[in-house]
Amino acid sequence: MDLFITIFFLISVTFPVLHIYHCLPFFRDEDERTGANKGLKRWKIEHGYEQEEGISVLVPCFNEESIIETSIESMKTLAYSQFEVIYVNDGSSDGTMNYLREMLDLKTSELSPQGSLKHENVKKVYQSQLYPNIYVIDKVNGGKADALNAGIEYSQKDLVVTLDADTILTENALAAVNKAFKDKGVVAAGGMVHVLQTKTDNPLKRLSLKNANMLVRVQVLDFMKAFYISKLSLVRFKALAVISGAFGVFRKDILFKVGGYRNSIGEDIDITLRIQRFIAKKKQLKITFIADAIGYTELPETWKDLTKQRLRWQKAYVDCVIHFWAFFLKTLFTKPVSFFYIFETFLIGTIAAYFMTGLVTYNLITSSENSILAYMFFYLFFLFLFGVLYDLVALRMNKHYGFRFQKGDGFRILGTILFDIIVYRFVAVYYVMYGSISYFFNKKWNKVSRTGRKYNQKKSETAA
Amino acid sequence: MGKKFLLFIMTAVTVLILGAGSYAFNVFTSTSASIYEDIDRNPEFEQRLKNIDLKDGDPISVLIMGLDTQKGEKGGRADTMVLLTINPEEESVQMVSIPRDTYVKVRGAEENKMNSTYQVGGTEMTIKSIEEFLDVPVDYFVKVNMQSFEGIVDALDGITVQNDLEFDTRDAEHLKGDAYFPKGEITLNGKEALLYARMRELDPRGDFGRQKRQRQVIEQVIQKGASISSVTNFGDIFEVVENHVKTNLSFNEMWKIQSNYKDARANIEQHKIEGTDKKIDGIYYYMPDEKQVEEISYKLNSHLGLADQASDAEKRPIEENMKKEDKEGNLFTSKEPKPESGNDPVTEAEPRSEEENPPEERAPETSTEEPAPPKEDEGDKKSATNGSEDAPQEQTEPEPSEGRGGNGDPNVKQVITDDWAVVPTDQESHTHITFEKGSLDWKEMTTAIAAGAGLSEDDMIVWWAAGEGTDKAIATVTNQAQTENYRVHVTWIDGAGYKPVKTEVLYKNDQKNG
Repeated sequence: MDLFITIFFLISVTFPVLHIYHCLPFFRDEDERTGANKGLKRWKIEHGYEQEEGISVLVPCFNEESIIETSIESMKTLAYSQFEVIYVNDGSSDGTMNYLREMLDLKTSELSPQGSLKHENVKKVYQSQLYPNIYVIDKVNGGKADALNAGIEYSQKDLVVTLDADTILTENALAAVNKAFKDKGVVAAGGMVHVLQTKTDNPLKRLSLKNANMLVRVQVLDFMKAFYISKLSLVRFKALAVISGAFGVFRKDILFKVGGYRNSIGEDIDITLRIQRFIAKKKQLKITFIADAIGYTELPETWKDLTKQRLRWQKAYVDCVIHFWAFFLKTLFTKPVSFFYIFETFLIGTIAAYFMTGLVTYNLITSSENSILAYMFFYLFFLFLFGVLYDLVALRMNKHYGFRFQKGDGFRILGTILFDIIVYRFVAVYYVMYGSISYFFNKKWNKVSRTGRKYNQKKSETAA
Repeated sequence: MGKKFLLFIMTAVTVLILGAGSYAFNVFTSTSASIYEDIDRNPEFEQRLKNIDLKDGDPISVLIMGLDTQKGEKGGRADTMVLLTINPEEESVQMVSIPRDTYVKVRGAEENKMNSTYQVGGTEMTIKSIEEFLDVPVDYFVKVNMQSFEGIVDALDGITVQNDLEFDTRDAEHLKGDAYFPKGEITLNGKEALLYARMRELDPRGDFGRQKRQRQVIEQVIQKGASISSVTNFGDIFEVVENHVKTNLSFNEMWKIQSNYKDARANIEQHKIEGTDKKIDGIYYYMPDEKQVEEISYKLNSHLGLADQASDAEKRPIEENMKKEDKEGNLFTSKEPKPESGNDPVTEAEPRSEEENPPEERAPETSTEEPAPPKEDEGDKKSATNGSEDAPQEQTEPEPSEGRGGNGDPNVKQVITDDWAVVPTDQESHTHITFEKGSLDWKEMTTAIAAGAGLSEDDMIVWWAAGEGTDKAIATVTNQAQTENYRVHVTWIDGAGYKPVKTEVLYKNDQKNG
């Protein structure tokens, strides 16, 4: 039994250990050296030395009236010349369309689709009279994937950035994207996503936990771990399976080649895996992570919304295991993406959660009190080593990529780490377990409600 | 590529280190949890245990118990009991074997041998019995299943002992396993060590010889165990220990003992408890020599730094001591169970005794008196060596075997039917044989049995007695030296008394445990 538990423990720590080492700057790829001199870069952009590729920013919207203003405000600040924004109103039942109309002063546009991706009927295409690079597609509801497909159809640029309606980009995010895609081998990329609730008026350098509740704070750590450790490491292995729907970048031609988005519960995992499958035999093509292309996205602030979101993510994982099963099986040991998806995410991340829970329960029931104590110590040992270490590495990486927390956030971080290892990680395991099972019974996903905060206002409050 | 290779090496090394660490930790904690057994302590000594500071090297006592569990048997018996007192300041260890057949009084239980206290009341009762018996606190205990003992010795890569008796276990009926043990320094693996520590029947010294070998083995295990350094050995030991050892030592305490008490093993002094064999109520007991027990008690107490207390106890008159115990309702006493019964059968013994009854090793050198338990009627005490001139009955001519046991029993050497005299009875009414020790009926019956066996009652050990119908009894008896074995049949004759009717001379005592 002891040996069994130990082997289990070894397997489950292997991937975290691997990622912790692999995310260190020492292991970066040759072509990751970006933003060495930000001042010079900005000067180059401003003076036209950097050639700017055209970028279409797609924002699917379904009942987003509370956040849409924030989104539009952020688009106005982007320091980039060759870009268009396409809001795709996916048959919203609330006032999203009216908001867009009011704020953008829309007129009918003559844009026409390319005609190779299927999507629900587009009622009308508009262009903003205030900001001529902003378009709105008003279509019949068809889901997020459908809305993105429509957006791709009408986009006019070669690079497509997909954003959630609640994601706002920092002003030089598109420039960073442009720079990364100078490498012709890059077909898709994920941008760095921070938490909107922690945004300050210096969004490229400072984060603040002051206005975030504990649930949001713990997700801040979660995102840092996911992006700065796990995703970064996976990208270096060419094994990234999820380009976050909150901020993804794609070459439009690759989207067409893989047939666009599949209408599924986790369209962001699906599109990433489609691209991975497509480039599996093309060695020169790759998916990357752009650490200095920074977006902020709003995170759920209540347990209810967090649960909805996480269950959807877990269902999406399971959905893609099933949908890409043939590909995974064929390339399990030849393609890192298959290996990591199946072994790390599915077997160790999901199946093992049931197993471990069963084991712990079994031991709690059958063992004497002393034994329970022993297990608790063992578990604490595990928690402190991994929970804390992982959090600390993530924080260190955050600093490495130029972010600092506000003064006075030290204790909040400490509290968050404790909350993470004592409460949150158990809840996360529950999401994984519950989500995996409920996938088979309920494939629908519930949209997470937006907080309705006005982040531009908050910005001025913070500044004051 | 070089970097990826480095990454995999780093990961593998980290994971292996974590794995080794967590495995050790896991084994460590789960072992310590599973071997820990807490017991209720004698209040007299409880405080002492609380005050022991293992960091300071306070002297401690540790009881090592070897459990023998037969298949289907519950709990098992504590067949090996060795009490150690460790004094790190004096850098010495005192080691006393407690004979497993030592007589103890356990109230509410039928059996009252030291080794059956475990069956009756578990570790707690054994410890209390030993504390009573030696008047020494037992601070810690380590209980080892005999079966696992093998594994422990193997984990230590075997032990080396100085053997003073050549024997081959193939000659022994009661031991499974074949091994030859030559005289001199021998190295034993686990299996051999277990056989070595268990063998009794081939040793002319009997249990004493075995106790000595047990102490040797324990000493060697301690010596080797204290100096283990290899991690793999630790792992092996943990594995064995987890399921087969129970102790009230926490890991922390074991750790401290290992580091602070290690040097004491340089000087190990061994003791045995002298005494005589006796049969009470059909069961064989070992009656320890009071005086020597007191000496050992004093020695151990002073070794534990409790000399004052020990001498106090010594000063207490035995009778008073016993009365006090009775009043306090103590469950145990190592003394004669019924000292007040003045009409003990011994008092009316016919003056028959074996003259060729050597004191042998079991009789203590320190005592010239009969080492039987103290009785109030001291006048009847006889030395075992000063028996009467009566010739043993076995010299009568052999007769053809007859009746029960004669034909089929290969153990019967010879059957004697003599016209023994009826032992006159003082009983006013007799309905059946009571087998109640201390009763008049018992006294008269044993007198008749002694007559039948041709032994003096002083010299006789009743190993077994049972009724055959309401008026017949059969008993297996030996002389004190256990050199002569008899099975005696007696019959109650109404209005007259008990009369021996048949005596079978046996090759060996078939009622003596293993």
